[in-house]
Parts: sequence; structure tokens; C-alpha cells
Amino acid sequence: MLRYLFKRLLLAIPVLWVMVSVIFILSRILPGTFGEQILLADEGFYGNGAKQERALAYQQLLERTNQQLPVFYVGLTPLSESNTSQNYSYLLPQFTWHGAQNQYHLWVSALLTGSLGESFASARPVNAMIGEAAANTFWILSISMVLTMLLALVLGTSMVLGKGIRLRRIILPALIVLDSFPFFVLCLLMLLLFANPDMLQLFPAFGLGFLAPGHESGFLQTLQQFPYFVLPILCLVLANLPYLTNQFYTSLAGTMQAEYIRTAHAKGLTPFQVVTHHALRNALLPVITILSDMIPALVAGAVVIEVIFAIPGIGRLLVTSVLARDFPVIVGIVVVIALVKMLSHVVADICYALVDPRIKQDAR
Amino acid sequence: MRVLLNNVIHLWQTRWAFKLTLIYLLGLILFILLLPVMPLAYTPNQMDLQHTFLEPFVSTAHLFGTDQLGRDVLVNILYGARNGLAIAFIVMLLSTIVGTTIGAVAGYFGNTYKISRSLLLVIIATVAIIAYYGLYLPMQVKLQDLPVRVGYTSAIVGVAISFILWFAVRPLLRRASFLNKHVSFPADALTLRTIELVTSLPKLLILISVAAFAPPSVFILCVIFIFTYWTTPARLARAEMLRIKQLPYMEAALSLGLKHRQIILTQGLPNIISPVVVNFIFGVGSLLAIESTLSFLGIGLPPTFPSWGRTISGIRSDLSAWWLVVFPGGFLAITLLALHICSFYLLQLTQEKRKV
Repeated sequence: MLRYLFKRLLLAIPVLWVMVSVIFILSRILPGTFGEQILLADEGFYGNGAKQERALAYQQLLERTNQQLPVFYVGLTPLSESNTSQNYSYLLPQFTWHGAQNQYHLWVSALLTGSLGESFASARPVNAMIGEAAANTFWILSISMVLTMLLALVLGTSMVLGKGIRLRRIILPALIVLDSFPFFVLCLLMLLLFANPDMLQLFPAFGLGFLAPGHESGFLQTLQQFPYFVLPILCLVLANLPYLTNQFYTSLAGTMQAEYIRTAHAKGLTPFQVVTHHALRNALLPVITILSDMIPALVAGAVVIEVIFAIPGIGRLLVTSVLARDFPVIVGIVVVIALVKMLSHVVADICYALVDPRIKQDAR
Repeated sequence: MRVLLNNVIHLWQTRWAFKLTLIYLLGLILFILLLPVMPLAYTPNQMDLQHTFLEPFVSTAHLFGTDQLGRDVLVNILYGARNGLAIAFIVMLLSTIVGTTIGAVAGYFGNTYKISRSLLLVIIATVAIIAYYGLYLPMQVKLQDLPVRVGYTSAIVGVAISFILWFAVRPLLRRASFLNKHVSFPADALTLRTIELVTSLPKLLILISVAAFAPPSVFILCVIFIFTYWTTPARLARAEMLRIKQLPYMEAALSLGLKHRQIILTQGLPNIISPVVVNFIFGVGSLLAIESTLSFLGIGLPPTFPSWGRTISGIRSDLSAWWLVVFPGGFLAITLLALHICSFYLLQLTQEKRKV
């Protein structure tokens, strides 16, 4: 088992490495660098300074953020006015070797020591920024995931039990309708219904309340923040419920056709016992994969939900840094999410082995 | 292909829900196509700053009200439908074509397709040449504002070198005995690795981060969409191809002396198309949702681009303007529902057939 896990990890790391590197390099070679707006004439905050001062400020910014260095170890010599107007030398690609002083090398060597770099915009370490934001996201996502799973389990089980057919006729179409609301529309509708003075003002709409750090104990603070979490969690549950319930139901309905279920019925077990003791464990197997694949959906959900409900989490950090073109933060979030996804796959593998002893046998 | 059409007709006759959704979708498409000739009082970006946040059904001039800049909601919904569906349809069409081709070829040839070393060498060289002369140099010309002449010259040189490679160098290379040996080309493994690479990160994360690096433009966004969406049709087409490759009619076609290309096109594609079509319809829905999510977040699309998401995002400046969410959001949900129902019935039918 351990050897199998190790092999999976070894195979997953290069893939992730390539993908994250591509994202990093894309962030640096695509046109538009951070701080470019300084150079814009007669516009914005920097508009008052002389042109030279602005150029100097831009140069200093580039040096502070290492953006003036070449991107990769090897680079093509860029075209310029001089080598295109006179001769045709640009038609021959010229490679130049930049050595270790390049942005990619610096980024990777920082990453290997565990640092994700410094934010362009605020000059704070990205690790700290992500660390602050991660807690809120983590709680919202994990609570909503557990709730969704429980609800889906209850719904799926009740649909295969005795009078399930009638229930199925109502639930399945309702879930399809629910599924066709895009997530952000669903959130906004909830917001309009439950946090609006014109309709029902049951919950606070935005943010996490006024925080007074060190003033109250952690538990009290959590209690105080609880109303702010209700709507986001409700939205996430509603958004993920249709898919998960459908998967549970299909998997359970398939298992209920098996021979050993008939045997269990013949033994005289009640239908409820048959499901809980015999069917559920086998039906859970495909659901594990689905759960580990749900991470992308959850990330998408986190982005939308944190923007709409103004919760300071990873998704909101991502969107604000995208709008500010703060590349180190974006790339840092990509790295963190990639790691989380890889870990979730490993956890899924372990769960597989726990649920299904046959897999453990095979892996040896 | 004919099977698919028969399926649709069968569903049309037996399921009223399918009929209803198909009528809705066709009506929507017709409406969108007629949009340029329709007598609309406003253009989607026309601002009426006297009447911002006008409530719906109070003024006959703005039936569905106006948003924070006084843009007419009804007109924006119509144009948003056009833009959203156009992007979703074109992107999904292109990514389905790309994905199905790659998947079908990978599934058909597997890892055993023999290719001579000289051909492999020439192919790799051609790809590198096209990348340099066809992509890198024109991009540099565009970025650095160099004369257009440079771009043309590089394109012509690129084409000329590839021609020389294929028609002069390749016959020469064939003469060398070392280069004439055949090696197996791992098409299947290569495809699988690439798919794994692209799907190793969540779609929305790739979309948001790459859209952040590039300046907001519809074209770039479409390219990123295609880059992330081709994997599903490729996987489906590969799996189907692996399944039907074992069937007798493929063997019969091969023994009749058909070429591989003919077999894939005439025998393979028509038989692997139905899951791909189901995925196509589903993908159009998911692209509609993602496009409006991105424009709601204000990422990737220029702010002058009329879209459902842009209209909805007006709610962020005034929470009591419910009509900004309810009308475009409702439209979006109904369209998605129609697409879901469509693909659901088609999927159900194909699955039933497979069991029999």
C-alpha cells in the first residue's frame, strides 16, 4: 500500500510541476507587467510627476520585484528596430543563455525553501497573505462539504427505500432545476431573498462582522460570526447537492440490483438494515472518487461565494490580486490549490483501501 | 449520424419535455439571428444617465428597467444571449472538433503505430519552425510595433522552409538506413499525459489566472476556453474508439483495404459521435455559466462586452435592484435547464441502447 501511494505521488509531482511552471512563465511573458500604469502619461495617481521621475519609479519597482531579469534560463533575443530594418538576421533564431540569474530560477529556489515570494502590490510575503485567508475558506468549504454529503446520503438512501419511487418523481426533477441555476445567480437570489430589507432580513449580507482580535476568546468570536456563515454555506450546499445526490442515488440503485442484496432481503432483514449494512459500503466506493474530484467545483464555488458575500478568503484574494495584476499572489494560490488537489487524491486512495480490502491486496 | 437524428426524432415524438426544450432553444437561436433587424430603441451600451436604476414595468421606454448606468436591461439581455451563446457554441464546436480528432486518433492507433524515424524528425522540425516563424515572430512584430513587412517575410520564410523540408530533405533522409527504421509512436500515452496535465488544475483557476495575465479580450478568452475544454471530448472519443476498435466491422473495413484515415472518418466517427454530441450540449451550458461568471467577476472580458453576467454584476452597487438579477439570471437558468434536459434525454437513450 505504502509503495503504491509513493508511486502515485511520484507520478503526480512532475505533472503538477510542469503545469505550475507553465502558469508562472505565462504570467511573466504575456504582455502587461505590474506597475506599467506608472508610465501612463497624464493619468491616475502618478500623473503629476515628470516623465523622468515616473520612468525612474517604474525602474525601481521593476528592480524590487525582479521583473527586469530574464524569465527563463534560455531565451530568444527579442526583435528590435535595429535588426529588422537593415538586414534579415532576425530570421535566424538566436538563443541566449541567461544563467541562474533569471526569474524562474529565483522563484523555484524560493519555492523549494517553502516561500511563495512577495506580493507586488503590498510587498508582504505571499505565504502570510494566503495563510490569513485560508482559514475562512477552509471552514466554509469543509462544513458545507460535510453537510452536502450527509444530505445527499439521506436523500439517496430514501430514494431507494420502499416508497422511494414517489419521492424520486419529486426530488430528481427538483434537483435538475436546482442544478441549472449558475452558482453566482443562486447566491445572489439567496442574498435577495434572505438578506434584503425588502424581503426577509434574516441574515447579515456582507463580511464577517467587526473583528476585535484578542478581545474575545476564539469560541465567542466564532459564535458571533456564525450568522455571517449561514448563507454562504447554504448556497454551497444547494449548489453541490444535485450532483452528489445523483451520484449517490445511481451508485446505490446499481448496488441494489446485486445478488447479495436479494440474499439479505431473504434473510429477513428490514429494507433499512439492508441498505445500511450491505448496500451502502459498496455504493460508497465510486463516491470517493467523486468527492476528491469535487475540489475544483469547491474552488470555483469559493471564488464566487467570497466575492458575493465579501468574505476575506482565498477566492477573494485571488480575484482582488487578478484585478491588481499581482502575479506572485496568483501563482502562489495556484501552487497551493494544486498541492491541495494532489493531497486529496492521495487521501482518496487511502480511503479506497480502507473501504475496499480487495484494492489493498492488489496494491501489494 | 443517422442514428442520432433518429434518436432526436424519436424523443421529439415521445417526450413532451424534450419537445418543449427543443422548441425553446430553436426559438432562442432564431431570435438571436434576427436581432440585427429587430427594431430596438437602444444599443446595449447606450447610457441613459437620467434614468439609472429604473424599476421594471413603470416606464414603457425601459420595460425591464435600467442598470446603474441607465443601460436598458431588456436590450442587454437579448445581446447578452447572443454573445454568450455565440461564444459557447463556437468554443464548444472548435474544442469538440479538436478533442474528437485527437481522441479518435489516439484510440485508434494506440501506442503501436509505426512511424519511420525520418518522418518523426521532419514532423518535429516542422512544428518547431511553425512555432518560431508563424507564432513567435508575428507576436513580436505585434508587441513591438515593427513594420508589417517583417511579419510577412517571416511567414513566407517559414512556409518555404517547411516545403523544402517535406519535399527535398525528407526524400534524402529516407536514403539513410538508420533513419528509415520504424519506431512505434506512443499516440495514446502522449494524449493521456497531455489530458492529465491540463486537468491537473481546476478549470476556473486556469481560466482566471491566465485571463489575468493577458489583457481582457474575447479572442484570448476563447483560446483559453478551447485549451481547457478539449479534454472531455478527447477522453470520450478515445474511450469509444477503443471499444469499437474490437468490433468486427472495423476489421472488415481494414481487410477491404481501406486506409486508416478512411476507416476513422467513415467507420469510426459516425459510431463514436453520440456521447460526443451529448457532451457538446452539456458543454455549451457549462460555458454559458462560466462566461457569465467571469463577466460577473469582471475578469477576462472587456467591460464594453454586453453579457448576462455584466448586467447581473450591477447588483453589487445597489442591493435593492432585484430586476438586475431576476431577469438575466432567470433567462440564464431557463436556457441552462433546456440544455440539461436535452442532453439528459439523449444520454438516457444512448445508455438504454447500449444495454440492449
